[in-house]
Amino acid sequence: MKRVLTLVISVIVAVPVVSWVMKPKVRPEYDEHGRVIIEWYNYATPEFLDLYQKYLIPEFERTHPHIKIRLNSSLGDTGYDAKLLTLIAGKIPPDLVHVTQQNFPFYAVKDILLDLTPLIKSDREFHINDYFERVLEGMRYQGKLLGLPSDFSTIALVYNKDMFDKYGVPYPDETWDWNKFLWAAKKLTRDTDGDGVIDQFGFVNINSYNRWPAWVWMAGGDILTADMKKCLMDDPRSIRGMKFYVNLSIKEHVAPTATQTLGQSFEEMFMAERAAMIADSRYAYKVFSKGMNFRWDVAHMPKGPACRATTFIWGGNCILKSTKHPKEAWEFLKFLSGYEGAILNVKAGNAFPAYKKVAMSDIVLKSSISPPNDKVFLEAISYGRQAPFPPQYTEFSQAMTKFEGAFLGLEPVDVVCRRFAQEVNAAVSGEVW
Amino acid sequence: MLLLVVKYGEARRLREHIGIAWRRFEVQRMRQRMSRRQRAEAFSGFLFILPWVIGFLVFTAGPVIASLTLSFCKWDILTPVKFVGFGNYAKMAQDPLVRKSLLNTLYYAAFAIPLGMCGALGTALLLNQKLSGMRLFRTLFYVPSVTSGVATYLLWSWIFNPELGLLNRALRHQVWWLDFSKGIHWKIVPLVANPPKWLADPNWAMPALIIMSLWGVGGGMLIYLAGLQGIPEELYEAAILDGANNVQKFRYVTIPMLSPTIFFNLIMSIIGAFQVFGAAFIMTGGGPMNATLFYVLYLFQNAFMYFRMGYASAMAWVLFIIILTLTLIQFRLSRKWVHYQ
Repeated sequence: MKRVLTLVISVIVAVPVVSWVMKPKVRPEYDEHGRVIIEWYNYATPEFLDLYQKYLIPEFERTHPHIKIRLNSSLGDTGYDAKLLTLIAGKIPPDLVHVTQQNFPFYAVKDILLDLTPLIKSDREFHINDYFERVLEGMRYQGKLLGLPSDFSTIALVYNKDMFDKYGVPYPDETWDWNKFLWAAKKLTRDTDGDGVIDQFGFVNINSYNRWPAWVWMAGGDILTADMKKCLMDDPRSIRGMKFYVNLSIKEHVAPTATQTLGQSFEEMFMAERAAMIADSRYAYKVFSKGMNFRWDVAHMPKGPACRATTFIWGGNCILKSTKHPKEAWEFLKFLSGYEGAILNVKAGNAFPAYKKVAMSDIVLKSSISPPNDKVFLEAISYGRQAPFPPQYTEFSQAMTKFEGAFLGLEPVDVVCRRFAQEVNAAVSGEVW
Repeated sequence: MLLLVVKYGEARRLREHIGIAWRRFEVQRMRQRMSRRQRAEAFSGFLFILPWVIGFLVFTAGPVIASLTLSFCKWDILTPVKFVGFGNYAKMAQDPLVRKSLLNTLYYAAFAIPLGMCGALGTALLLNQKLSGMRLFRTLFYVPSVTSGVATYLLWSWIFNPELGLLNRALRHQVWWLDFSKGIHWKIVPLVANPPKWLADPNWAMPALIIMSLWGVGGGMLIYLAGLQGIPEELYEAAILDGANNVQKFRYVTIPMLSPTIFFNLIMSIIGAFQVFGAAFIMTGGGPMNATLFYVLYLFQNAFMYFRMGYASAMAWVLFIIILTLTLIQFRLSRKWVHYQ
């Protein structure tokens, strides 16, 4: 009898305790003043967070008295996606999330981002033409606009002027094609101390999806068809572009192989004067500002056999479909990508703001670190393209590891390109796993 | 799932705890009458193990069951869970990277386990000598086992750096060499003219990681050392009286007496080798060309890079079955060679 009683009592005690523990946490919708709380998830580093809290958010809350912004930051990009997924799985998703060209495809294909098209249509104050169409293109997926970019940069040729002068090589200009580029790179590749080991390279060809597509496009090739149903990397033009890019290190030896970088990143090699040219974005200025002991400038990417081409790097914000207050979230999104957000990005030295008026104004191009031809990054927008991705994004990025063999010089480029195309074709015709 | 294997020891401890409490309870029931005090004692016994039991249920048993369920589902965290039956297991059978990662793991295990076992036993034998300063040496050999994994991996990736690394510097060291090509004379040549590119070369990355695994022999060494010190001195004395030499003493006294320790270390090394992850995660990311893509690393990538939770869970259960089978085989084989005193 007593045992039964004990059991009953413990169940009575345990059930509320367990259900309290298991109860999903609910994020309050309104604060104590009745303002709508909009949570913004980003990976601001502490210095950025400071800028947000001191300038951006107070300004927004002053002009939008009915909205309260709550910051949720992973403080740096390690673990960013894992934390966001945990928030979503735990049913406390933020309203707005920050993404870049790196992780945007993952969220876009999962269909959790709000299509902004209806919001834009009903908003008279908002003008889509205030933004660079080619940058917006990066956040379009299957005919929907899934976010607004806040900052961006094209990739251009960054070069060491002193080194060009030293070896009597003319600076890169509009006339540069692949031949001139290769000729200059050869001239700039040197064994400076005569020990038989190359110490200084003309260029660095990194194996990255925001670099090599440009060379494929330059040769007239492409990565995927517009409908994402077929991979075009087995096209002779695509192979030609990839071959030229890979051969810079494997055959022409004007760029370091994986072992010749000595563990340095391509930016570190450039800053240490071990590379005369690199293809880099304006985001690198933050790194460069830490000290460049030589004169440097920026030039257009060389023209390929078919055209001139380059890729984009960008950051932006998306509204999650799960938000209960899309209108308020949209207000904040506009603010982040609009004039005020643009000014903040300039303050933080974050490449170009996506907002045209600020991006093309003097405050950006005449910043303290700007080299003479800084505007090349803006001019490059006209021939810049966004690297595509299919819904089977995981399989697509897995297939990309195939190129490693080519960059290591262990497998012929054409074989790797064909195998890549084969694998991607199999993936895009199959289910998304 | 992996937790289950890792926590195998803990589970056993749990069983012991529960066993003790339960037996006491049973004995008292057999006596039919439990005094108030005895009952209170049994109750407090259960109460004492309760935190552990709750922890086990919530943080080990719960996730284990969840992962088993998930292994039959498709789940990317963002969209709702979808039941796919044996879909994940079927996809695994076709995934070339699963095959590649299993082969990589077997390759690693086939070399790292014997090397590690012999290394640990050898070091333990050397450190079991009665010499002055032995404590210092024991500490020195054990220190790598307690240093942080990430720090040592970064250190080793510098050692293996093809151009600047310590290892290749040593290999390129100039030495005097007898040259027979034009009569016999001395010449100065590098020890190895073209040393391997280690982590940058798909053929040498795995050997590099195997060599590096010797760095952690300290843990096994400590257990061997304890085993060696548990061997009674009189057995050696008896062997000497019977005219045994050192090799015979080792073969007929040390090895049999140490066999339970060897057995324990073997089981732990097999489990450890199949779960190897950190080194590749930090140093190579599975590359170059998937040469160091270990099974658990690929599992991790699926779970936390591609967010295919169901698929990763299925992979974990397959790994569990592999480790369980190997361990059971070891237990069966052990009857032939392990001697308990």
